[in-house]
Amino acid sequence: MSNKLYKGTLANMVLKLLHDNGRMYGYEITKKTKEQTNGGFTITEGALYTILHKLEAEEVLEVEFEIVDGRTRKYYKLSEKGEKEAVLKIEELKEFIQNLSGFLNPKLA
Amino acid sequence: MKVTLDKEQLGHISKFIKAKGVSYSDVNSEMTDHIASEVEELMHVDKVVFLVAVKQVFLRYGRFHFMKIEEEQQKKLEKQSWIFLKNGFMAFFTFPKIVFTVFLFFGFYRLATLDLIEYLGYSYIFFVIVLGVFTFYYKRKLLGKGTYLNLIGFLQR
Repeated sequence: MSNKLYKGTLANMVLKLLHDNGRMYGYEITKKTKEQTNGGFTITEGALYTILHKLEAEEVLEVEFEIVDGRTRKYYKLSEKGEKEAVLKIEELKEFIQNLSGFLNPKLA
Repeated sequence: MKVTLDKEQLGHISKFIKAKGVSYSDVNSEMTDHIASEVEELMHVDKVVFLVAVKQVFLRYGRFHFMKIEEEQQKKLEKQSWIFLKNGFMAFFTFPKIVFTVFLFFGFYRLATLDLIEYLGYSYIFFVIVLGVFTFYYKRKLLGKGTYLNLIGFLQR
């Protein structure tokens, strides 16, 4: 499936993952996304880290550093502001899917 | 069994990322961790040696792969330094600093409208106050509270 369709919702997907799993690191996010979409969607590193750093600058995400297996690992988690935003964005995402589903199946809507 | 890369192998990945133009050390260490995790998984699942796995992973990273991340990092740093500056500036408008800011403003305003005699008089009072505060606090700090009191006792004898 074309990744372009997911692009607009990538930030919301990251917020949803962090909302459900607490703190996560970059590679873990890419793996989890692939898992949860049954391999249908793969986040590229360029897109993922751009979004993570943007959300960090906006203070939606907080970071923690830890030494794991001899290297520094950067963990991301939702800040207080991020928690509120995540709830809002998840609702938006659900509404978007509902609207889209209604559009695709007009008889069911 | 889980595969863990050693220091030399991590250094190899870090050098590759640097060669791709990543200049920020925190971006480099984050990307090193990402690529190392990918390599470790490949070595574990496909049962291949480090050099084979790393070559396979490196092939996915083109010349401009990290450019967007670098750009975003630059933007993030600019934004953070602006927030830092703004917070530092705004801190002067919170209590009790606001009192000092207002005092300083009117102090400078008054200073600009003084004639020479008033100016010398106020300068003298200001000098005595500053000297008094300085002597009180710094003597206490340098000699310690007990020593300072002993010194006063000694002088009063």
